[in-house]
Amino acid sequence: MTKLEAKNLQVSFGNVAVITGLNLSIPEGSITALMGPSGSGKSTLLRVFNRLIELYPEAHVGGYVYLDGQDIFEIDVIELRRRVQMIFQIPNPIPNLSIFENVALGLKLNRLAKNRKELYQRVKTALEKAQLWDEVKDRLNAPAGKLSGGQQQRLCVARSLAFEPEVLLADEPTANLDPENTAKIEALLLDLKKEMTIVLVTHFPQQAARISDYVAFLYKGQIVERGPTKDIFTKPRHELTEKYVTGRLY
Amino acid sequence: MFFIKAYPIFAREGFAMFLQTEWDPGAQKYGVLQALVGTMLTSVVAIALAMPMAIGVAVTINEVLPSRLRTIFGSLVDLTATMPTVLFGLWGFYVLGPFLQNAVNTLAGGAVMTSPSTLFTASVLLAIMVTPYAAAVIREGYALVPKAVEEAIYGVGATRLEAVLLKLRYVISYVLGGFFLALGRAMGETVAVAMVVGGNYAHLTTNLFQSGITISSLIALQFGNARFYTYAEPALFAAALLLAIFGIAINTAAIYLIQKWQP
Repeated sequence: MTKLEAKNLQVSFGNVAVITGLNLSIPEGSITALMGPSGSGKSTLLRVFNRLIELYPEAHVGGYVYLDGQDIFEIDVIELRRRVQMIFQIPNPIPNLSIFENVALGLKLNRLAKNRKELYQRVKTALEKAQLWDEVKDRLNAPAGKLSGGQQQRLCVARSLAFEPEVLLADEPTANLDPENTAKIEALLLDLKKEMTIVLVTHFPQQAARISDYVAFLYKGQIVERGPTKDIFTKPRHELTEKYVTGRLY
Repeated sequence: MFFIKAYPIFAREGFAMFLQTEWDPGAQKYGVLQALVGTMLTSVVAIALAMPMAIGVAVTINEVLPSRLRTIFGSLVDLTATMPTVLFGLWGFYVLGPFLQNAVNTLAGGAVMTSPSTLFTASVLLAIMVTPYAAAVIREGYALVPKAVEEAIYGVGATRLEAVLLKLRYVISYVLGGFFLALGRAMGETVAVAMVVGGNYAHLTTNLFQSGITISSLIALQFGNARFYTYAEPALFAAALLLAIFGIAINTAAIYLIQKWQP
C-alpha cells in the first residue's frame, strides 16, 4: 500500500529550483531512506509532506502530493500536521517550556485529551515509547532546554508520538548525536515502523543500510533511483547511486 | 546632589511632604502626594493602553508585512519615537484633548470630563508616545525566534494565532524589556504631559477625567517661580529625588526579570 505519493513535484525558492519534477511513492509501514548529496532537496521534500514549507514565504510549490490518495493541499493543514509528524536535524524542543509541556502542547492546542488525567497518560505513554520516561519522570516540570542533546531529540520523538501519527518524517535525526544516542534513535525508529510509515533523510549510507526497507536516491531535485535497500547497496542500477553509496559523491 | 538640595525641606517637614496633597508655595504648602498619584495613574493607564498596541505593531510588522516592507515600516515606527515631545504636546492639547472630551462625554451620556486637559488625556497621549519604544524592543525580539522553534510550534498543529502567542512567550524577556522601557519613559515624560494634564496642584484626585499633575510636570511647571520661595526649590528637588528613586527601582526590577526570563 502506498502511504505517501509525490507526482511531478516542483519546489523553488525564489529563482532557485530545488525540486524539479519529482515522482516518489512511499510504502506504508516501512522505513524509506532518502539519500543524496547536500542540496539535492531531501529536507525540502520532507517539509512539503507536512506543509511546513509554507513557513518559507519565498518557497513556491507545484505538482501533487497524496496522503492515502488524498491531495495534501486539500487537507486542513493542522490536521495534516497532526497526521504527518516531523523530527529535525537539530533537536528543537521549545526550550522555555517544560519537558511535560513540550509533549502536551500539541495535544492541548488540538484538544486531543478530554481531561488532565488523559493528558498526563498520553504524555507518559509518548515519553515511554520514546525511551525517555525513566530519565525525566522526576523532573517533568524542568525546562526542556536543560536536557542533553540526545534527550532533547527523544523528547522531540515523544512530542511527535503523542499525536499517534500515521507518518513520521525524520530529517537527519542523528546528525548531531553521539553513537550511543544514535543507536537509541535507530532502535526506536525500527520499533515504530510497526505503527507508522517513516521517511528518513540521512547522510549516512550505513544508517540507511542498517534500518531502512527502501532507499530513494535524490540528485538535483529528482529521484535517480528507488528500490529495496539491499538492491540499492548491492546492485545499484545508476552510476550516480553507485558513486554515492561507495563514498565518491558527496 | 538631589538629596543635598532637598535637605532644607526634609529638615523642616521630614518626609511629610510626600503625604500631603497641596502644593501652594504662597501658603507654604509643599505637598506632592497628588503629583505622585498622578504619575502612577497616568503611567499605569498609559502602559495598559500602550502594551497591546506595541505588541500588535510588532507582530503585524513581523507576521503580516512582506520582508521588503518590514524594515521600512519598522523604521517609520522608530522615527515617531524621535519626534520632539513638544509636538506631541501641541497635538494633544489642540486635537487629542478635545476629541477625548467629546468621545468620553458622548459615551457616558453626560459631562464626565469637564476639561480637555485631564489625567486621562495625559495617559492616552503617553500611551501613543511610548508605544514605539515598546514596539521596537518587542519587534527586535520577535524577529529572533529561531526558524527551528517556529517549525516546532507549527509542527505540533498550532494555528497562526496560537503560534504568535507561543512566539511571544518565547521572547517574553523582550516583551518585559519593552514594558519597562515604556514604563520608564511614561513616568519621566515631562513636556507633553505638562501641556495636557491640566496643572492641578492643590487637589488630590484619582479620577482620571479630572485635571491633575505629575511629578515631572510639577517640576517643569513650578521650576520658574520656585526661587521666590525659600522651600519651593528644595521641595522640587525632593520630588525629583523621588522620581529618580522610582526610575532606579524600575530599572533594577527590569534587569532582574529580563535576565531571569532569557530564552
